[in-house]
Amino acid sequence: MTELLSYVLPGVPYGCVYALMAAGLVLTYRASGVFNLAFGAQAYVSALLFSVVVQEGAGTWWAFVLSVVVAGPVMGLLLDGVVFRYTRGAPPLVRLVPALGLMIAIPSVAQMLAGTSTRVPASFVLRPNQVYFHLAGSAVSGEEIGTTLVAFASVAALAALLRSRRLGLRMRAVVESPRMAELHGVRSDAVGSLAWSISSLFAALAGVLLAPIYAQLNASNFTALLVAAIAAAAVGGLESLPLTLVGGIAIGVAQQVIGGYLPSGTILSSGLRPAFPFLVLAVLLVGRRSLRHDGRLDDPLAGCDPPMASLRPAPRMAEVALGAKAFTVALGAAVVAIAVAVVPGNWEFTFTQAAVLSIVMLSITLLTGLAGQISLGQAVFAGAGAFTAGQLAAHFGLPVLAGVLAGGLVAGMLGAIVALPTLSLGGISVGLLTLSFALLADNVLFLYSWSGNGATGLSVPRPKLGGLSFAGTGAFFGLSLVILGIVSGAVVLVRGGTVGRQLAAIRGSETGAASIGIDVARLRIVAFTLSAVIAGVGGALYASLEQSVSPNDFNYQFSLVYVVVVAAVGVYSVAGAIEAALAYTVLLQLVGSLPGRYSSLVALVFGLVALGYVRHPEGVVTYAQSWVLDRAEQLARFLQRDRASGAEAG
Amino acid sequence: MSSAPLLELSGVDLSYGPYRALFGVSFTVSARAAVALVGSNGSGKTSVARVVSGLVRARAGSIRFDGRDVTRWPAWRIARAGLVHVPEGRSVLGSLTVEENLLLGLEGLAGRHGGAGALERAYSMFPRLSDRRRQLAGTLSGGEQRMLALGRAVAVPEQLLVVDELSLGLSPTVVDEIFSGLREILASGTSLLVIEQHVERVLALAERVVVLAHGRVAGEGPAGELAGVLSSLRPSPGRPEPPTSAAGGGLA
Repeated sequence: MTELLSYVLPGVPYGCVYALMAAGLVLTYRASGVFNLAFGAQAYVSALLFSVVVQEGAGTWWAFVLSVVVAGPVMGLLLDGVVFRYTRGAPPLVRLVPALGLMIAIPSVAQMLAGTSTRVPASFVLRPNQVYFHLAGSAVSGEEIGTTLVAFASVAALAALLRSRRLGLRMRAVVESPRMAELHGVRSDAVGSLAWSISSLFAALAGVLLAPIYAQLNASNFTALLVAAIAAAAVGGLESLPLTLVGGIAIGVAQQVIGGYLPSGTILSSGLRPAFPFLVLAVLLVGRRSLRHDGRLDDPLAGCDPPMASLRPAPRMAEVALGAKAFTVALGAAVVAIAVAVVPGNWEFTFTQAAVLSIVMLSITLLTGLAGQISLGQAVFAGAGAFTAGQLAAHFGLPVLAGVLAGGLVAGMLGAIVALPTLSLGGISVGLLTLSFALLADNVLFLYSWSGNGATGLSVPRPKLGGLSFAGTGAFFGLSLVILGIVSGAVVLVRGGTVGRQLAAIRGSETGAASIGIDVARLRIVAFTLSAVIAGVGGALYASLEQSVSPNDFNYQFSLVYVVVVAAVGVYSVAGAIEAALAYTVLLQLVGSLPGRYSSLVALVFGLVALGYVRHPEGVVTYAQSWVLDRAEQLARFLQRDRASGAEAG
Repeated sequence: MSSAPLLELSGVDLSYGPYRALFGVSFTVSARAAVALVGSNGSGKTSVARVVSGLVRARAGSIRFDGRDVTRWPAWRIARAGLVHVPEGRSVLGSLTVEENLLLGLEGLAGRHGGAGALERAYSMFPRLSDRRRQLAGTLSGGEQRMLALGRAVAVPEQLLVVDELSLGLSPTVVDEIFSGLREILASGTSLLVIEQHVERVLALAERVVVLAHGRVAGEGPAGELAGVLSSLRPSPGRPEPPTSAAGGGLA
């Protein structure tokens, strides 16, 4: 009993911080329908700011005021005003991608601003290390008491605020339909801003409270915090604050108890503790009805918005369509020719990476673009492909090309398995479930010697085919282009065929699709499987290109990055996937050639991409295409009219 | 009453992205008067309602309400100035209860008014709402939802009520109830701008009619005089179709 208590008690403050974050998540979700995945990043920024100010010599309370009371709400207002105000009532992908982009961008930018020197987190509640009293034989430190008290008080205050008729009622009205609320005289934007500033205050508070637990401030700790908070919010059904608090504490305590009782030293015990929140989240997503779908009613006044831009710009005039096609082919050929002939040696590798990455990106085109399913776990499928090829080559001497195929098959099977629990889910819930799957793979699945072999990783040789060797990067580039061509062709065929049309129907409306006789569940499994096969092939090829891979090459961050990049460039076309991969690898290579302190530029680009995406959810490439095609058509019409009037005159 | 109209649109242009919806629409609604806005599907009636209440912003032209230029005002400000817009279709907040829907309007529009008396006014006009005050508005029948939307205007009498296709999809007896409600609201001193498919009913209610066609005002005048313009635009639903000469010709 005493032993159990000695595990339970230290878990409570952790759980309280989870609950604080979760309460903030619930608030923004309730008020704007956005699942703010940038929340962990916001907590990180506040913790960083707090440490910096303390280390600069300011008092703890000043640091607290600046980093929590000021910076928290200001961040919230900025995020709302610049990004999320414009995503209300938008489709799930459009609400998710900016949050993902910011989740990646904010920590790096903050790090760049704070300087690279190691920041040791400071604590502000009571005297952190002083033991105030003993409870059932366990020492209770000031920090633990303080954290728990602050969390309880804050959540209670928020609950009271939401109970109040003025704010609570308005918030519920605004989340259902901002426009309808405005017709009732409610300032929807102001209500939204208020909710964002309060919830961001909570994120900041959670960050500053949690920071002292870690030896060093690290953005990835805050992602784990975010997922634990999401799980706690899920316990509360994204609605009830008391249940959220209970959920947060339960998760915090359970983590400590697991850590205490499982035999130490095994992958399961060291992995299960961090992975526990992801498991909870996955179980809750599948089990709780209220979480399965976005639970949002359609805004009856959505018709006030201008119609969304076309996802696949199609020129109306035959001449323009032909010209556009010719131009695309010529451009592609030119890029390949330049890559082969002109490009210096170190760029050859970059272009090969781009070609291989394009294959992984195409898996998102198929799943998200065609089928409308959001997966935040594509890197897991790529990893499964890579490790299959590596293991088969190492243990059975299987040729790498056969290993690439086998990798695709294994990834496909994994995809089908992952698809099963997502079948009853919709929208962002699918994304969250696949994200928890990705985190589970990072923490447990890929660490075994039979899979990713932990930090050591695997070595994968370059392929050979009969007398042909692809050991040189140039030859490998050719091989990648051939495989990319095959996969692109497959995606185009799928899109144009029956399955593609059925997927398009599902993307539009699952109910509608079912009503015309489409087996939605079967098709969703097919989409997940095909997409995972493509990702697996890409991953295996990537492993062979790099010649050695470890789970770190396929961690959850890549899953998020891929989705953001593809969505921002254009998720509905093959060209979009290839251009996304090209832009991403070239950007990495360019920034890599700069001095180290510019490494945050990649993140900055991500932030800008997220901002741009809000304005053009159809993707940058698609937007540019439509723009060029519109101009081309105008020109063509003008020329025709000119010719016609010329003929009349003559 | 003063001669200045309560609502005045002059040369209002509106577009949704690249699509133009209204072309230089001008008309007025006087205080304590009812104006009917009629026209075929796609003629821009709903767009007029939206631009008046600030849901969408006019691209050109101006809108004056109660002596002030409200062209660039956000919807909530126009609502607080005393203009209630009951939009087409679902016009209540489904995730709020009946009473919460009414309260939301009360607090936003008239924090100064006492709540209880206002609620009672709404409930006495539509007793059915009173039975369902704790029920979620989204679970009400279509007719009850329209009553709730009107109840908002009854609770705190406003200067102008804009209603868009209130009778859409309702049974005739419910439509009767809704129209008697509208008549009562008009009698209490609130002006009406009514968009309606049931032309006969709305002509009985309104003294003036504005006819829209292809986003432009095609005609305007006293309700009695516009029958001719109307029949030229579309056959009245009450009258039998003219002899099937066109159809017969097609078959032959």
